This record gives sequence, C-alpha cells and structure tokens, in this order.
Amino acid sequence: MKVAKEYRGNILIVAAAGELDHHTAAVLKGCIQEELGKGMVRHIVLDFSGLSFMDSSGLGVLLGRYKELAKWQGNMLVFGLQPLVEKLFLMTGLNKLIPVHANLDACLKVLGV
Amino acid sequence: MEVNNYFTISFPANSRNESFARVVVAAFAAQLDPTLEELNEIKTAVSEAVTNAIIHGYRDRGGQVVITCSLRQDNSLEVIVKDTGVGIDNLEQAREPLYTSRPDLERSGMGFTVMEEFMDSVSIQTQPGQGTSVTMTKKISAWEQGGNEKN
Repeated sequence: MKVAKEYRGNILIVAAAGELDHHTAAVLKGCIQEELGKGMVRHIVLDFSGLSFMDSSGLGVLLGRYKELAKWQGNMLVFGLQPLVEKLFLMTGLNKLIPVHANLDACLKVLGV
Repeated sequence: MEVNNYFTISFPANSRNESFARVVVAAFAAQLDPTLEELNEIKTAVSEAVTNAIIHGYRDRGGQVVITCSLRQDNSLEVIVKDTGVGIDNLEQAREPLYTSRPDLERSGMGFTVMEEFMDSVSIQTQPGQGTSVTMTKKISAWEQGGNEKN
C-alpha cells in the first residue's frame, strides 16, 4: 500500500492506494498518527480512489483515527470509493461516521473551504 | 455435492500471507466464471477468515493456516479456512457484529459479519485449545442461456 499526504490549511488529505488489510493497516495508521502528533490537524479527508481492496481490518484502523479526531470534534470524510470498498462502508454503517463524497471538492465544501 | 476440482494449501500464519491467500482463492474461483463483484466478495471473505486465524487463532504467535477450496457441480465454491490455534470460547459472542476480543488491536469486530454478508453460508467448527475451522460457500451466478450478458 502507498500513502501520500498533503495539507489544505488544517485539513490533512491522505491518499491511500493499493490494498488495505490487517497487514497494511499499520502503514495508514502510522502515517495519520504521525501527522496527528504534530498537533495541527483539525479534519481529515481520505482519498481512496486508488484503493482496490479493503476488509474489516481497514474499518478498525479508520474507526481508531475517527475516535482521535472526535476528541476535538474534527471530521473525517472520504471520497473516490471503488464499488467493493463502498459496499463495505455502507454494509457496516461506517458511512454514518465517515461520510462518503464524490470528490475532493465536495469534501472541502462540507468543511467550509 | 459432487466436487469437480479442489486444492489445499498450507502457509505460515503471517500477515503478509493474507493477500496471497485471497488472491489464490480468487484465481481458483475464476474457473466458475464469476463477476468481478463476486470475486471481490470472495477475496474479502477469505481475507477476514485468514486474518482471524492469524490474530485470534494463533494470537500472532505463528502456526499453519490451511485452506481447502472446492468447486462443486452446482457452480458453487466452498472455502475452508482452518487453524489449530486456541479456538473460540464463546462462538455466539464472536459472531456478533462489533464484538471483538482484541479492542487493543483496533479490531472492528465485523469480520464474521462481512463473511456472512459476502458469502451464501458460513459455518464455524471450533474447539477451545484445538482450533477453528470456518467453512464458507458461495454460488456463482450462471451465464444466461443464449446470451452473453450475465445477470
């Protein structure tokens, strides 16, 4: 799995590409935790357009980061879901915590950018 | 049910083999001519069962995971994922959505729920101290007669 990050003000945008499972979950977790540790992240937007696979281990790592953000009422949004990943989001209700949007602009608009 | 083809593989309970396991089963299932969606569902269910064997069955301390996969005459796939780890004390609880025995590892507790959602049947045989065997089946949709389009 490959992870890239960038900032729009205090919004961290994380692009994850490849497969998110138990084995690769630590990569995504490590990347986000490193940024959270810097203390300048308010919200997180996930770009999953390059993510071809995800299982419930991915849900676990996303829920963990969601809880971190909730400490300061930060939001987590996601866009670019491929059909399998979207099915997992809807089936598990994860989309109620991490809303799914069509693209980055839609996510940024929700966050008032 | 008559079996048309099958394979068995055994590999170390290491997380780097999760991807290997789901790809092998998907490659084998391709003989049934599944849709991409069906293949992805099979891959996800296999990933859940193998991850369970590694994290819960063997508690991340290693062991062998054995997968037996059969193609049956009714165009269905049967996948058995077996470990000889610690077993499951309370199976009913383990199958509940959102329940996890390892909240410390940020597990979502959705593994069995995902397997049940993506496969037609999921049955679990477990014996504390002896191991767990998860048997999943999925019928692959048939090509429509006289046409080239799949449902």
